[in-house]
Amino acid sequence: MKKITTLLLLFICIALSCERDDICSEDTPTTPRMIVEFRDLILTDNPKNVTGLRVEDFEDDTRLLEDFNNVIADQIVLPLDTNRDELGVGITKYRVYRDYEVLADGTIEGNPDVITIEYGVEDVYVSRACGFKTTYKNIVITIEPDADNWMLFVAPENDNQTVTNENEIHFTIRH
Amino acid sequence: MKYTLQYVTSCFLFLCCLFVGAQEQEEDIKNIDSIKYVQKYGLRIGTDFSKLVRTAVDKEYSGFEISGDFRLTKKLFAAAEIGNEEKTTTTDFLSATANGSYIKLGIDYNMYKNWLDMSNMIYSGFRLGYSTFSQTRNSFTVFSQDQFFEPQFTNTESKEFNGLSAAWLEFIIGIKAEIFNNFFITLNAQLKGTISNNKPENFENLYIPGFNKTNDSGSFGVGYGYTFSYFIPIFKKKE
Repeated sequence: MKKITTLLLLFICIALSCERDDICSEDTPTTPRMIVEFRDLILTDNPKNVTGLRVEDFEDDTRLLEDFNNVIADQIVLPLDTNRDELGVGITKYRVYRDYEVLADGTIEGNPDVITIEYGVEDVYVSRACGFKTTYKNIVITIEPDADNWMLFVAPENDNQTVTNENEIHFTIRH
Repeated sequence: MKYTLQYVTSCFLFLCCLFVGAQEQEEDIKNIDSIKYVQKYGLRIGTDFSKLVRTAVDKEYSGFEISGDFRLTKKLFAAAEIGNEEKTTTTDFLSATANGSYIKLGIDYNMYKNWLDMSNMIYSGFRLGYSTFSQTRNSFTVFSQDQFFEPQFTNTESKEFNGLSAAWLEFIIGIKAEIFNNFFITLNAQLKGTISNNKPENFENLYIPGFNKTNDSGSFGVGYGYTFSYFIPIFKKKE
């Protein structure tokens, strides 16, 4: 009788402690970032490196993407703001430098181009632990015209390009 | 005269005692003869006390359950529970409230051999459970590994998903003890697995009334009960 009671109590304890902590695993695909590849202007299938590449927030130039701080790269991975207006349209703006350089006297050299990304959002349920992720559709990327644009042309990889994962290149920018 | 009255009264009282005693003795002798004890058959009705306590202390929970079982044979009991629950599940990124009713039907099997005519139980059994409920998504915050744009979008517009249902199979192990005459306390643990689970579009059932919390990793759930019940004897059987 005592043995069985002990067993029963043990069973209940296990049953109660079995509830998982519900932490969203890093392996779970959640809100994707947009992947943009730089291509050659003429040979449009060829990736082309950008030197002195730096990506910073348009609103606040002290906030920058840590992975793209004066590097040589042919791809950038851009987080998109999940906040949106009443119509479900979000806007993210980045300032992207080519040939970024800080001179000894502190002046910044380089060619900044501003890209504006406008998109519709959709919130998709993932799991109890991760909750919802945001995916993007109807994406329009505009290169803000200035006196000296190094970005010349932007194109989606597919028609009606959406951003639902990070496994593919979503847009290309020719330079 | 006085002595006569005393004599008669004493005799009467003595006979009374004898009569009552004889009745008991008669039964005992019979029982010993056949090594059989009187078993009470009837309906046991109770309520899950743990749900009432939880309703009082847990702001995110309210619920009650009425349970009953009827003795079929010496060891088998037909058992059922009906209940209603409302539970709010809150995580860092999500809040949802499930609200609905459930019914569970099944069998309990008493594995305990009682002394004399006692009717305690160590039992195991199964239930088939069915629940109809609604789920309201109260709010959520978009989850993003990348926190370049903080805070992420938060939706506080509640959305209700109606007409949800789920069915499950439940394995029970428990103990019933008669603490006063016909008054029982039951403690049990339940292991459940869903058979069907009607999920809302672009969401899932975080909590199913009667089934309890669902799991990301599978269709299993757990539960427990702490029930006070009263046994209504209907007839008696020897052995």
